[in-house]
Amino acid sequence: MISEESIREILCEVIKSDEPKSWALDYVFVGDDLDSLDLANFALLLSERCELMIEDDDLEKLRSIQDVMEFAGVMA
Amino acid sequence: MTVGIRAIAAYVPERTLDLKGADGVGLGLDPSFIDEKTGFARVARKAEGEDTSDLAVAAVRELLRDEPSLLDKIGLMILVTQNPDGQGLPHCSAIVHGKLELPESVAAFDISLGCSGWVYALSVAKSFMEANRIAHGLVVTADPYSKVMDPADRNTVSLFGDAAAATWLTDEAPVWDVSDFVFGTRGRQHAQLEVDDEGVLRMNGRGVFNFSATVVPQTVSEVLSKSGRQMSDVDLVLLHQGSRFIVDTVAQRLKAEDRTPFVASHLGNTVSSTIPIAIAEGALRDSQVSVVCGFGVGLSWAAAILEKRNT
Repeated sequence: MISEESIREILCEVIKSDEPKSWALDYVFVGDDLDSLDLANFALLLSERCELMIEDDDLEKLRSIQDVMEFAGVMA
Repeated sequence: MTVGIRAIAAYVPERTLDLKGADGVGLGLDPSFIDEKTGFARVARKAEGEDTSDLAVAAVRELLRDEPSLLDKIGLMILVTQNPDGQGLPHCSAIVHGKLELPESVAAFDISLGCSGWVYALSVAKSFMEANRIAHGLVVTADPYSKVMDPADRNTVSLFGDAAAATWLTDEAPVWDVSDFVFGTRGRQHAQLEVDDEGVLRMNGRGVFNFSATVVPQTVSEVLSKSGRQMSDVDLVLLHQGSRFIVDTVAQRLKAEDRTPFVASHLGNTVSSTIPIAIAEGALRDSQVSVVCGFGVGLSWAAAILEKRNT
Protein backbone atom coordinates (compact mmCIF):
# COMPACT_ATOMS: atom_id res chain seq x y z
CA MET A 1 0.00 0.00 0.00
CA ILE A 2 1.42 3.37 -0.98
CA SER A 3 1.80 6.11 1.60
CA GLU A 4 3.83 9.25 2.11
CA GLU A 5 6.19 7.23 4.30
CA SER A 6 6.74 4.53 1.68
CA ILE A 7 7.42 7.15 -0.99
CA ARG A 8 10.00 8.81 1.24
CA GLU A 9 11.62 5.46 2.04
CA ILE A 10 11.98 4.62 -1.64
CA LEU A 11 13.37 8.07 -2.40
CA CYS A 12 15.96 7.60 0.38
CA GLU A 13 16.98 4.30 -1.16
CA VAL A 14 17.18 5.71 -4.68
CA ILE A 15 19.45 8.64 -3.81
CA LYS A 16 21.23 6.74 -1.00
CA SER A 17 20.52 9.50 1.52
CA ASP A 18 18.14 10.36 4.37
CA GLU A 19 17.41 13.79 2.87
CA PRO A 20 13.95 12.89 1.47
CA LYS A 21 12.67 12.36 5.02
CA SER A 22 12.77 16.11 5.54
CA TRP A 23 11.65 17.26 2.10
CA ALA A 24 8.48 19.34 2.00
CA LEU A 25 5.63 17.67 0.17
CA ASP A 26 5.95 20.10 -2.73
CA TYR A 27 9.76 20.04 -2.85
CA VAL A 28 10.80 19.45 -6.48
CA PHE A 29 13.23 16.53 -6.50
CA VAL A 30 13.59 16.16 -10.26
CA GLY A 31 16.82 17.66 -11.55
CA ASP A 32 19.25 18.35 -8.72
CA ASP A 33 18.31 15.30 -6.65
CA LEU A 34 17.00 12.71 -9.08
CA ASP A 35 18.24 12.35 -12.65
CA SER A 36 16.50 10.35 -15.36
CA LEU A 37 17.99 7.03 -14.27
CA ASP A 38 17.11 7.65 -10.62
CA LEU A 39 13.55 8.38 -11.72
CA ALA A 40 13.43 5.10 -13.63
CA ASN A 41 14.62 3.29 -10.52
CA PHE A 42 12.11 5.22 -8.36
CA ALA A 43 9.26 4.21 -10.66
CA LEU A 44 10.39 0.58 -10.72
CA LEU A 45 10.52 0.39 -6.93
CA LEU A 46 7.08 2.02 -6.65
CA SER A 47 5.68 -0.61 -8.99
CA GLU A 48 7.34 -3.49 -7.15
CA ARG A 49 6.60 -2.42 -3.58
CA CYS A 50 3.45 -0.34 -3.87
CA GLU A 51 1.92 -1.75 -7.08
CA LEU A 52 1.85 1.75 -8.53
CA MET A 53 2.28 1.56 -12.29
CA ILE A 54 3.49 4.76 -13.96
CA GLU A 55 3.61 5.18 -17.73
CA ASP A 56 6.39 7.24 -19.32
CA ASP A 57 4.11 10.23 -19.99
CA ASP A 58 2.92 10.31 -16.38
CA LEU A 59 6.41 9.89 -14.93
CA GLU A 60 7.49 13.11 -16.61
CA LYS A 61 4.85 14.98 -14.58
CA LEU A 62 5.83 13.61 -11.16
CA ARG A 63 8.22 16.14 -9.67
CA SER A 64 7.45 16.04 -5.93
CA ILE A 65 6.17 13.72 -3.21
CA GLN A 66 2.85 15.52 -3.45
CA ASP A 67 2.65 14.80 -7.19
CA VAL A 68 3.23 11.10 -6.54
CA MET A 69 0.60 10.99 -3.79
CA GLU A 70 -1.95 12.75 -5.96
CA PHE A 71 -1.17 10.43 -8.87
CA ALA A 72 -1.64 7.42 -6.58
CA GLY A 73 -4.90 8.81 -5.24
CA VAL A 74 -3.78 9.02 -1.62
CA MET A 75 -4.09 12.81 -1.45
CA ALA A 76 -6.99 14.90 -2.53
CA MET B 1 35.23 -34.81 -24.58
CA THR B 2 34.50 -31.75 -22.42
CA VAL B 3 35.08 -28.42 -24.06
CA GLY B 4 35.95 -25.34 -22.01
CA ILE B 5 37.63 -21.97 -22.41
CA ARG B 6 41.39 -21.96 -22.87
CA ALA B 7 42.13 -18.28 -23.51
CA ILE B 8 40.54 -14.98 -24.49
CA ALA B 9 42.06 -12.01 -26.29
CA ALA B 10 40.67 -8.56 -26.99
CA TYR B 11 41.08 -5.91 -29.61
CA VAL B 12 40.22 -2.33 -28.68
CA PRO B 13 40.71 0.35 -31.36
CA GLU B 14 43.20 3.09 -30.44
CA ARG B 15 40.74 5.91 -31.06
CA THR B 16 38.54 6.85 -28.13
CA LEU B 17 36.09 9.59 -27.27
CA ASP B 18 37.10 11.32 -24.04
CA LEU B 19 33.70 11.78 -22.45
CA LYS B 20 35.06 13.60 -19.39
CA GLY B 21 37.03 15.92 -21.63
CA ALA B 22 36.44 17.80 -24.85
CA ASP B 23 34.26 15.15 -26.48
CA GLY B 24 31.97 15.06 -23.44
CA VAL B 25 31.68 18.84 -23.36
CA GLY B 26 30.70 18.80 -27.02
CA LEU B 27 27.94 16.32 -26.24
CA GLY B 28 26.78 18.33 -23.22
CA LEU B 29 27.59 15.50 -20.79
CA ASP B 30 27.70 16.08 -17.03
CA PRO B 31 30.92 14.56 -15.58
CA SER B 32 29.15 13.52 -12.38
CA PHE B 33 26.51 11.70 -14.44
CA ILE B 34 29.35 9.83 -16.16
CA ASP B 35 30.98 8.92 -12.83
CA GLU B 36 27.82 7.81 -11.07
CA LYS B 37 25.56 6.57 -13.83
CA THR B 38 26.97 5.59 -17.21
CA GLY B 39 30.43 4.87 -15.82
CA PHE B 40 32.11 5.31 -19.19
CA ALA B 41 34.88 7.92 -19.09
CA ARG B 42 35.97 6.83 -22.55
CA VAL B 43 34.33 4.93 -25.39
CA ALA B 44 36.37 3.21 -28.08
CA ARG B 45 35.75 3.96 -31.74
CA LYS B 46 36.89 1.99 -34.73
CA ALA B 47 38.93 3.80 -37.35
CA GLU B 48 37.25 5.08 -40.48
CA GLY B 49 37.29 2.28 -43.02
CA GLU B 50 37.77 -0.35 -40.35
CA ASP B 51 34.90 -2.82 -40.65
CA THR B 52 33.41 -5.46 -38.39
CA SER B 53 35.47 -8.23 -39.96
CA ASP B 54 38.64 -6.18 -39.36
CA LEU B 55 37.84 -5.90 -35.66
CA ALA B 56 37.19 -9.65 -35.52
CA VAL B 57 40.43 -10.47 -37.33
CA ALA B 58 42.39 -8.16 -35.04
CA ALA B 59 41.00 -9.92 -31.95
CA VAL B 60 41.92 -13.33 -33.34
CA ARG B 61 45.42 -12.08 -34.17
CA GLU B 62 45.79 -10.98 -30.54
CA LEU B 63 44.97 -14.55 -29.53
CA LEU B 64 47.60 -15.87 -31.95
CA ARG B 65 50.38 -13.94 -30.18
CA ASP B 66 50.50 -16.65 -27.52
CA GLU B 67 49.42 -19.53 -29.75
CA PRO B 68 50.69 -18.92 -33.30
CA SER B 69 49.71 -22.38 -34.55
CA LEU B 70 46.10 -22.13 -33.39
CA LEU B 71 44.64 -21.36 -36.81
CA ASP B 72 45.97 -24.64 -38.17
CA LYS B 73 44.09 -26.54 -35.50
CA ILE B 74 40.65 -24.97 -35.29
CA GLY B 75 37.56 -26.61 -36.75
CA LEU B 76 34.94 -24.01 -35.83
CA MET B 77 34.63 -20.24 -35.83
CA ILE B 78 31.47 -18.50 -34.66
CA LEU B 79 31.11 -14.74 -35.10
CA VAL B 80 28.61 -12.93 -32.90
CA THR B 81 27.46 -9.71 -34.54
CA GLN B 82 24.39 -7.74 -35.57
CA ASN B 83 26.43 -5.21 -37.52
CA PRO B 84 28.18 -7.32 -40.14
CA ASP B 85 30.18 -6.05 -43.11
CA GLY B 86 28.02 -4.82 -46.00
CA GLN B 87 24.43 -6.00 -45.88
CA GLY B 88 25.09 -9.25 -44.04
CA LEU B 89 25.25 -11.45 -47.12
CA PRO B 90 27.60 -13.28 -47.14
CA HIS B 91 27.72 -14.01 -43.45
CA CYS B 92 30.49 -11.98 -41.86
CA SER B 93 32.20 -15.06 -40.44
CA ALA B 94 32.92 -16.14 -44.02
CA ILE B 95 34.69 -12.81 -44.61
CA VAL B 96 36.70 -13.27 -41.42
CA HIS B 97 37.45 -16.85 -42.48
CA GLY B 98 38.84 -15.53 -45.76
CA LYS B 99 40.90 -12.74 -44.18
CA LEU B 100 42.45 -15.18 -41.73
CA GLU B 101 43.06 -17.69 -44.57
CA LEU B 102 41.54 -20.46 -42.50
CA PRO B 103 41.42 -24.02 -43.87
CA GLU B 104 38.29 -24.93 -45.85
CA SER B 105 37.54 -27.60 -43.25
CA VAL B 106 36.61 -24.90 -40.71
CA ALA B 107 32.88 -24.51 -40.01
CA ALA B 108 32.07 -20.80 -39.86
CA PHE B 109 28.75 -19.14 -39.09
CA ASP B 110 27.28 -16.02 -37.52
CA ILE B 111 25.06 -15.71 -34.49
CA SER B 112 22.81 -12.65 -34.59
CA LEU B 113 22.55 -11.60 -30.97
CA GLY B 114 23.53 -8.49 -29.02
CA CYS B 115 24.68 -8.30 -25.42
CA SER B 116 23.66 -11.88 -24.56
CA GLY B 117 25.55 -13.21 -27.57
CA TRP B 118 28.83 -14.32 -26.03
CA VAL B 119 27.15 -16.58 -23.48
CA TYR B 120 24.80 -18.02 -26.10
CA ALA B 121 27.75 -18.62 -28.43
CA LEU B 122 29.70 -20.43 -25.71
CA SER B 123 26.86 -22.92 -25.40
CA VAL B 124 26.48 -23.31 -29.17
CA ALA B 125 30.23 -23.74 -29.70
CA LYS B 126 30.61 -26.20 -26.83
CA SER B 127 27.69 -28.30 -28.05
CA PHE B 128 28.80 -28.15 -31.71
CA MET B 129 32.36 -29.11 -30.85
CA GLU B 130 31.41 -31.95 -28.55
CA ALA B 131 28.82 -33.31 -30.99
CA ASN B 132 31.22 -33.18 -33.92
CA ARG B 133 34.43 -33.98 -32.05
CA ILE B 134 36.12 -30.70 -32.89
CA ALA B 135 39.06 -30.12 -30.58
CA HIS B 136 39.56 -26.38 -31.10
CA GLY B 137 37.11 -23.61 -31.86
CA LEU B 138 36.77 -19.85 -31.73
CA VAL B 139 33.95 -17.59 -30.60
CA VAL B 140 34.55 -14.08 -31.90
CA THR B 141 32.43 -11.11 -30.84
CA ALA B 142 32.51 -7.89 -32.87
CA ASP B 143 29.57 -5.50 -32.93
CA PRO B 144 30.60 -1.91 -33.63
CA TYR B 145 27.51 0.14 -32.80
CA SER B 146 29.17 3.29 -34.13
CA LYS B 147 27.97 2.03 -37.54
CA VAL B 148 24.35 2.60 -36.52
CA MET B 149 24.51 5.45 -34.00
CA ASP B 150 23.19 8.94 -34.53
CA PRO B 151 26.29 11.04 -33.69
CA ALA B 152 24.00 13.64 -32.08
CA ASP B 153 22.28 11.13 -29.77
CA ARG B 154 24.33 11.50 -26.61
CA ASN B 155 22.35 8.74 -24.89
CA THR B 156 23.85 6.12 -27.19
CA VAL B 157 27.09 7.87 -28.20
CA SER B 158 28.14 8.08 -24.55
CA LEU B 159 27.35 4.42 -23.86
CA PHE B 160 28.53 2.21 -26.66
CA GLY B 161 32.11 1.42 -27.66
CA ASP B 162 33.62 -0.53 -30.56
CA ALA B 163 35.80 -3.52 -29.77
CA ALA B 164 36.13 -7.24 -30.37
CA ALA B 165 37.10 -10.37 -28.48
CA ALA B 166 38.22 -13.84 -29.48
CA THR B 167 37.59 -16.82 -27.20
CA TRP B 168 39.45 -20.08 -27.73
CA LEU B 169 37.51 -23.19 -26.76
CA THR B 170 39.08 -26.61 -26.57
CA ASP B 171 39.01 -29.92 -24.75
CA GLU B 172 42.80 -29.76 -24.37
CA ALA B 173 43.65 -28.28 -20.98
CA PRO B 174 40.94 -25.62 -20.80
CA VAL B 175 41.32 -23.05 -18.05
CA TRP B 176 37.59 -22.64 -17.37
CA ASP B 177 34.82 -25.19 -17.53
CA VAL B 178 31.49 -23.73 -18.65
CA SER B 179 28.23 -25.19 -17.43
CA ASP B 180 24.66 -24.75 -16.24
CA PHE B 181 23.51 -22.36 -18.96
CA VAL B 182 20.16 -20.61 -18.69
CA PHE B 183 18.59 -18.59 -21.48
CA GLY B 184 15.61 -16.34 -22.05
CA THR B 185 13.86 -14.06 -24.51
CA ARG B 186 11.19 -11.36 -24.11
CA GLY B 187 10.32 -10.75 -27.71
CA ARG B 188 7.24 -8.65 -26.95
CA GLN B 189 9.63 -5.90 -25.86
CA HIS B 190 11.99 -6.14 -28.83
CA ALA B 191 11.48 -2.45 -29.69
CA GLN B 192 13.18 -1.28 -26.47
CA LEU B 193 16.50 -1.42 -28.30
CA GLU B 194 16.44 -1.51 -32.08
CA VAL B 195 17.74 -0.05 -35.31
CA ASP B 196 14.90 1.93 -36.88
CA ASP B 197 13.84 2.21 -40.51
CA GLU B 198 16.44 4.95 -41.06
CA GLY B 199 19.16 2.59 -39.88
CA VAL B 200 19.68 4.42 -36.57
CA LEU B 201 19.96 2.80 -33.14
CA ARG B 202 17.12 3.74 -30.79
CA MET B 203 17.02 2.86 -27.11
CA ASN B 204 14.31 3.22 -24.49
CA GLY B 205 16.54 3.73 -21.47
CA ARG B 206 13.80 3.20 -18.89
CA GLY B 207 12.58 0.05 -20.58
CA VAL B 208 16.07 -1.43 -20.79
CA PHE B 209 16.73 -0.50 -17.16
CA ASN B 210 13.48 -2.10 -15.93
CA PHE B 211 14.28 -5.26 -17.87
CA SER B 212 17.85 -5.45 -16.57
CA ALA B 213 16.98 -4.69 -12.95
CA THR B 214 14.31 -7.38 -12.78
CA VAL B 215 15.40 -10.17 -15.15
CA VAL B 216 19.12 -10.29 -14.44
CA PRO B 217 18.97 -10.94 -10.67
CA GLN B 218 16.37 -13.64 -11.35
CA THR B 219 18.59 -15.18 -14.04
CA VAL B 220 21.62 -15.22 -11.77
CA SER B 221 19.51 -16.95 -9.11
CA GLU B 222 18.38 -19.52 -11.69
CA VAL B 223 21.90 -20.36 -12.79
CA LEU B 224 22.99 -20.72 -9.18
CA SER B 225 20.06 -23.01 -8.47
CA LYS B 226 20.75 -25.06 -11.58
CA SER B 227 24.36 -25.57 -10.50
CA GLY B 228 23.41 -26.42 -6.92
CA ARG B 229 25.20 -23.36 -5.57
CA GLN B 230 24.40 -20.32 -3.49
CA MET B 231 25.70 -16.81 -3.90
CA SER B 232 28.19 -17.45 -1.09
CA ASP B 233 29.79 -20.18 -3.26
CA VAL B 234 30.57 -17.69 -6.03
CA ASP B 235 33.68 -15.52 -6.13
CA LEU B 236 32.55 -13.18 -8.89
CA VAL B 237 29.42 -12.21 -10.78
CA LEU B 238 30.58 -10.84 -14.10
CA LEU B 239 27.68 -9.06 -15.74
CA HIS B 240 27.43 -7.58 -19.19
CA GLN B 241 28.88 -4.09 -18.72
CA GLY B 242 25.83 -2.19 -19.93
CA SER B 243 26.47 0.80 -17.67
CA ARG B 244 27.68 1.38 -14.13
CA PHE B 245 24.12 2.13 -13.01
CA ILE B 246 22.76 -1.16 -14.30
CA VAL B 247 25.66 -3.21 -12.91
CA ASP B 248 25.39 -1.49 -9.52
CA THR B 249 21.60 -1.86 -9.41
CA VAL B 250 21.76 -5.58 -10.19
CA ALA B 251 24.59 -6.02 -7.68
CA GLN B 252 22.50 -4.32 -5.01
CA ARG B 253 19.51 -6.50 -5.77
CA LEU B 254 21.68 -9.61 -5.60
CA LYS B 255 23.21 -8.34 -2.34
CA ALA B 256 26.55 -9.04 -3.99
CA GLU B 257 28.05 -5.57 -4.36
CA ASP B 258 31.43 -6.87 -3.18
CA ARG B 259 31.77 -9.31 -6.09
CA THR B 260 29.92 -7.69 -8.99
CA PRO B 261 32.41 -5.30 -10.58
CA PHE B 262 32.03 -2.58 -13.15
CA VAL B 263 35.23 -2.77 -15.21
CA ALA B 264 34.50 -1.09 -18.55
CA SER B 265 34.96 2.61 -17.79
CA HIS B 266 37.84 2.86 -20.29
CA LEU B 267 36.09 1.48 -23.38
CA GLY B 268 32.30 1.65 -23.14
CA ASN B 269 29.54 -0.89 -23.59
CA THR B 270 31.01 -3.07 -26.30
CA VAL B 271 27.85 -5.19 -26.61
CA SER B 272 28.67 -8.93 -26.83
CA SER B 273 32.34 -8.23 -26.12
CA THR B 274 32.05 -6.74 -22.62
CA ILE B 275 32.30 -10.01 -20.70
CA PRO B 276 35.10 -11.65 -22.72
CA ILE B 277 37.10 -8.41 -22.73
CA ALA B 278 36.75 -8.16 -18.95
CA ILE B 279 38.05 -11.72 -18.64
CA ALA B 280 40.90 -11.02 -21.07
CA GLU B 281 41.83 -8.07 -18.87
CA GLY B 282 41.99 -10.28 -15.79
CA ALA B 283 38.58 -9.97 -14.14
CA LEU B 284 38.52 -13.67 -13.19
CA ARG B 285 42.16 -13.82 -12.10
CA ASP B 286 41.34 -14.54 -8.45
CA SER B 287 38.04 -16.35 -8.98
CA GLN B 288 37.46 -20.07 -8.80
CA VAL B 289 33.73 -20.02 -9.48
CA SER B 290 32.08 -17.19 -11.42
CA VAL B 291 28.70 -16.41 -12.87
CA VAL B 292 28.60 -14.68 -16.25
CA CYS B 293 25.40 -13.07 -17.49
CA GLY B 294 24.75 -11.27 -20.76
CA PHE B 295 21.52 -9.37 -21.43
CA GLY B 296 20.16 -6.77 -23.82
CA VAL B 297 18.88 -6.59 -27.40
CA GLY B 298 15.86 -8.81 -28.02
CA LEU B 299 15.22 -8.58 -25.21
CA SER B 300 17.48 -11.55 -24.61
CA TRP B 301 19.56 -12.96 -21.79
CA ALA B 302 21.85 -15.85 -20.97
CA ALA B 303 23.96 -16.89 -18.00
CA ALA B 304 26.37 -19.67 -17.09
CA ILE B 305 28.87 -20.84 -14.52
CA LEU B 306 32.59 -20.54 -15.26
CA GLU B 307 34.73 -22.68 -13.00
CA LYS B 308 38.50 -22.61 -13.06
CA ARG B 309 40.02 -26.03 -13.53
CA ASN B 310 42.49 -27.22 -10.95
CA THR B 311 45.74 -27.91 -12.77
